Amino acid sequence: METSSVTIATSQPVAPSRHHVRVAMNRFFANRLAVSGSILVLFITLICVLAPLLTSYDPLEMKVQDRLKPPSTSHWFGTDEFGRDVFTRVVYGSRISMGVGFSVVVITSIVGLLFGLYSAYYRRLDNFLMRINDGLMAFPAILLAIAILAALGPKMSNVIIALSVVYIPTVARAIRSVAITVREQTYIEAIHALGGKSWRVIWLHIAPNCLSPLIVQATFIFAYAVITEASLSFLGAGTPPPEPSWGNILNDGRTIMKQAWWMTVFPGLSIMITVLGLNLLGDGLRDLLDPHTNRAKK
Amino acid sequence: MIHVPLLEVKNLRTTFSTELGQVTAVDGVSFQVDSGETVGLVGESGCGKSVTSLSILRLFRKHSGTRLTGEIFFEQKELLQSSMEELQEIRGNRISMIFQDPMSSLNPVYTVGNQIAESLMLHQKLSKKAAQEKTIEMLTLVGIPSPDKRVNDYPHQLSGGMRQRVMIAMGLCCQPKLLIADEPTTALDVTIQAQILDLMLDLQKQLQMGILLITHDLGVVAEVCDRVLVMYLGQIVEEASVETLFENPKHPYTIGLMKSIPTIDGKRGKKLHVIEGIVPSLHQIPKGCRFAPRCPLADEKCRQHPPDLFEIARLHQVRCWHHERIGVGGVAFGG
Repeated sequence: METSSVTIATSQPVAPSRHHVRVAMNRFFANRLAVSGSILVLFITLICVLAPLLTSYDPLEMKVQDRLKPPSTSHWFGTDEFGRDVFTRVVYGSRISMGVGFSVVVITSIVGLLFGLYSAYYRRLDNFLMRINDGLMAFPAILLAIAILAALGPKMSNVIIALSVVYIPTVARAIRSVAITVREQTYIEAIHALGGKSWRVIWLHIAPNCLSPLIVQATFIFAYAVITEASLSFLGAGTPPPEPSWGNILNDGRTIMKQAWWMTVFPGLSIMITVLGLNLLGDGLRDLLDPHTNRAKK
Repeated sequence: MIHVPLLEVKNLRTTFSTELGQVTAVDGVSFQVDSGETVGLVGESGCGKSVTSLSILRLFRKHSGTRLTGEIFFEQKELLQSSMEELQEIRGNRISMIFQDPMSSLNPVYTVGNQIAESLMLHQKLSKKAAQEKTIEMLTLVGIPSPDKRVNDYPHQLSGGMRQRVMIAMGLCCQPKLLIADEPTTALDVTIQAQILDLMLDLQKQLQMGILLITHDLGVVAEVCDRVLVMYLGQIVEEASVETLFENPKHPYTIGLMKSIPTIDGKRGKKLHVIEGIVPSLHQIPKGCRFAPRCPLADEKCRQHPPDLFEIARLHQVRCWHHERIGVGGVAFGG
């Protein structure tokens, strides 16, 4: 008797906001794509944060006597042609990849949202901004990034700038197309009729309705940015050696792939796992956030 | 003392530029709304009812090629010449608008409480807490049960009737002097319709506001309006008090509309009356009387010369050359 009355008492007054959070959490955990994606992403993120704890080696320290050792208990992923521990380099390399990816996502989301919203709202601005967008989108992403890096010089901060310039148009377009639909909704007209000013309409009423596509888009941009950063470093345009990045470790191992397979396989796998995780997460989020997809199928 | 109406629209013309050229959606419309009065604006789809209401608050996109001419006085202030800032101060505060579709008139990402409170914080500069209290008070006023809980609901958690009540609460929370209701009950079923209309009239008495009710439902007009404006193709074709209009309609179009209402004692299986023909496009406005192509009384004069608004009695105007031939109750129709 006693226990049953307690359970009723605790289960009844649930604050509405907490209720929504719980529903959202349940839905998230029921989505296999999103859960597996976020596990992978969480795994890589932990590696990046805990890098110094995971290895006792220095990623830059060279030991000539340990050149090109295959994987063993002391060097899990083997060593490279300078005797550096590949596991350590891959672990520290995740910081570059994830760091670049994350910064690019933050910059492209903010600037893309700004451009997307304003070009959807102000028609005159639209023509101008979207022509710039078209111009940027006419270049293949990697070529444009190489061109920008050639002008700015290979540096991590410049990689972030280059990749942001490359991916802002994608975000801006996605946001613009959503914002144009939202702009025509009656509730936006209603806000105007209530005397709302333009900035209020744009930021408090149109923007929140664009958030879910933005989150999905941002996840995919993260994945693209990781791949493109690796490609740039592989080509020698990105993170300059000896700083470890998955792309330049791959490049170091390229010529000796037959003798030292571990130098290519492990950074390659890392890229794959990261991008797979982000893409799964992106797909999962799209299913969760887009009310038009059929939830029953998943 | 000269009587000054709450809202006075004088010779309003609203022109849009489209791919096919200039289109005049509202052509020389004049009318008045007084405090505490309900004025109905009736007509078929596309006759310019909604454009008229949007013109009053100038709710058109900048650079959309919309041109407004004429004069609109609200509390003796000219709205067409006012700055955007002055208008934003009036919108939602002195003049409120309720939209046709309650399903899409609320922002899905905010709770209904937030949306009502926004307007209060915007215009009345209330604190968040005061706005919240006032919001619950408004929800009680429009008859939403357990308003203290409903205030935290999102629009999708409410039924259509509830959402329309929320819209009304939003429209009325700043106690406007004029309420423009654009088909506020069209999307609702008949029982809810009656409740919402009663609610609006109730609140009108309390707040002494003027209502401009836009509708195509003559049943609603008969029930709630004091005066009626009948619009056809961007022009007012008849203006009268509601009694006069229903007892003694003078314009063939009004008579046609009246005949199209299904009656409760009508014979089963009998087809409803229809007005012959279709509404011409605004790109091809007839040269003479705009209703002539569909009018059973039309003759050569009607087809060549557009009629003026004739004042045939006090507060009864009609735009027809043949108004004298139409007897009481529109019986001599076609004679």
